[in-house]
Amino acid sequence: MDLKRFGLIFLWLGGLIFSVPSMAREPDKIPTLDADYQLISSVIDSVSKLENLIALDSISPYWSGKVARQLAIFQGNREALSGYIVRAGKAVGADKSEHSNTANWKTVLRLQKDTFGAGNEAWLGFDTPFANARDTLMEFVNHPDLRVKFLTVLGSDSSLNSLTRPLTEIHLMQLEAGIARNEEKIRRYKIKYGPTSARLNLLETAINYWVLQKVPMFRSTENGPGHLEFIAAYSTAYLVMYHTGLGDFASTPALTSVFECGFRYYVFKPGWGGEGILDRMIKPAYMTFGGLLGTRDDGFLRLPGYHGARWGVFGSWGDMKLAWQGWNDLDHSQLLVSRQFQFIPYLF
Amino acid sequence: MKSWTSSRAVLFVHGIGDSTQVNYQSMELRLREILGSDSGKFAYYGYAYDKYNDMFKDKAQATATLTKAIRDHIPVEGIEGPPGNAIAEFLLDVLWPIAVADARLLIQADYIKTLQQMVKDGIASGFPAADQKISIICHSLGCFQTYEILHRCANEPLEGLTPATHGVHFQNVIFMASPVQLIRTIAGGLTLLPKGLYCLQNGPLRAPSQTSTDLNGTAFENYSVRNWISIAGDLDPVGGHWLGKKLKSFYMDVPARAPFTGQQSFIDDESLFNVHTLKDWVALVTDIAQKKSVGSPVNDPHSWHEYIERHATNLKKWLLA
Repeated sequence: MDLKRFGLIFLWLGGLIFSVPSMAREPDKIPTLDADYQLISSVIDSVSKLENLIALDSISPYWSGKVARQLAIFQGNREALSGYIVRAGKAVGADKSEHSNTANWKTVLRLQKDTFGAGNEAWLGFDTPFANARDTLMEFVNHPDLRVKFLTVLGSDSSLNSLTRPLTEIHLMQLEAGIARNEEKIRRYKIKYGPTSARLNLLETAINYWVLQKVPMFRSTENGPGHLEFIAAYSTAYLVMYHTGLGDFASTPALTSVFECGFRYYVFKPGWGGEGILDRMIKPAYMTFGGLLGTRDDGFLRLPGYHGARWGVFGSWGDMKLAWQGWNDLDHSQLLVSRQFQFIPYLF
Repeated sequence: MKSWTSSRAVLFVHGIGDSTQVNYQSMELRLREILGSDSGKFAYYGYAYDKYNDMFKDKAQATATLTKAIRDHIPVEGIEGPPGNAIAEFLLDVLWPIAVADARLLIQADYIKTLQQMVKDGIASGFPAADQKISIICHSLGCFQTYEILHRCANEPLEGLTPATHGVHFQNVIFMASPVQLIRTIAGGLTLLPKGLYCLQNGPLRAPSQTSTDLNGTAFENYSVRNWISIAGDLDPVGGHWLGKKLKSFYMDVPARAPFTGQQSFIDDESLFNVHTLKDWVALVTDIAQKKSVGSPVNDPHSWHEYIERHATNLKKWLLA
């Protein structure tokens, strides 16, 4: 019966943590598609002007061919995007007459619609034909040898900057995305390592900082730190709350000592891991789960396993810890409560 | 966000020690004095990473014991009091970013964010990346962070800071007392360290670059640093010197590799400190540590302020080039 209750509690906690949040309504992509169309057009226009300005085909047939291939990719995408906007009746915010309606469905269907619009993959993504073309065109306008030639013809930085503005817009978008991405990473690292995170003892430090930094779920990825942290701690601050074996509440307060081994899961969802007391209770930075080895008899600073042992499980919701011991001795099984802290800093 | 008045900006990156003692405002004021009437042409930035070292130290409470032990128990014969703080700060500041992958990646994300913000500010002020003249003045461990971050930026288009694709070039990177080679030598022998340090890559140390193609279609390296300058004092072990002698295994030297023209090296004569023996040197460092003045201008062979003072004229020339 008690085990079932525990199971239900863990299921409830698990549901809270791992449930997929309801999907937000997809934002209206129409204005962004139009903006993408405008930007593609501006890039084509800008690069074509620069090519002609310095007679690129005579200066560098190699770069001329390279740029032509990338422009073709941009032109193909512009045509498909325009066709999609018209055929889907989504031309908003721009003059409809601007869009081609000559693109047939085959062309339109070739368009990777996720690439454009709200996803912004066209400008921020990598390793797609469009992204490779974009990078090559950016390299073209930033090429040190070609830039000297552009400046020689145009005569001033401001004229060149005005002409290359569409490519600068793309760069700006990438920088903004980069800043946002790095800010998110930093936020996550602060949750896992900052002042509201759990402190580590000597053993945990060695294992988490060195051994597990290469293990999936523990190690960092491009999105920031891994969610998991290894726990190997001695706790002597568990309060016996309920004698599950006997079916009664503890008549006198008693402490018991256990050795815990398990995992701490850090929650990186926005809104979780706040510093306020209420925030820490409702949406904590972390939760833990694992097994424990307790003492045969209750007591402060006892050595688990010595003179008999009780096995059990523990879990926590933020700092608040709940444990059950007595798997191998159901008559003496107990429900325990505690709070996450180090009784002897540095050691336990 | 800062508004740029011209295409120039400068970034300070502090070194080993407690960054709360590093006052970027005073650095900026001094640099403004050095630049004189041209000081208004620059946007000034400072980057401090020491808070993250402290964060990792606080989480791993065991290391606080180590710090205390170093502070209290390193005996130095004939010297009263412990050399303590400076050495403890040094060891832990070096430990985190080198030995703990997450600490390294956190500092990396934050440093890169600072650079992204600088380039973005420049663009927003009307200066596209290709026109910008950003200089970095870094000291001590800040040189190591800078070396690693510049390589990451050149190799990772995702960050938007590559030289060839994005046109981001740093006009000057001025390394003062760089421990890059020292770390390379020591860390190179430690096989358990997490992988990914650029300073441990095979071959000699090199300037960061992105491969591009010239007008004939031949590949070339587009280097992200135009002017790579290294300044070290001949009594500064962090900069690869010991009692007036250069230690090849500890001294950062980035050779030329076309079109990169190589590092400009400056070795400062610090004989005025009158340090000739190990005991003299320890006494000097102890004196600095007891005054808790990491980076102070008081007879410190490793002092950032002193490096700047000794090269004031050059700094002005480099920054205005």
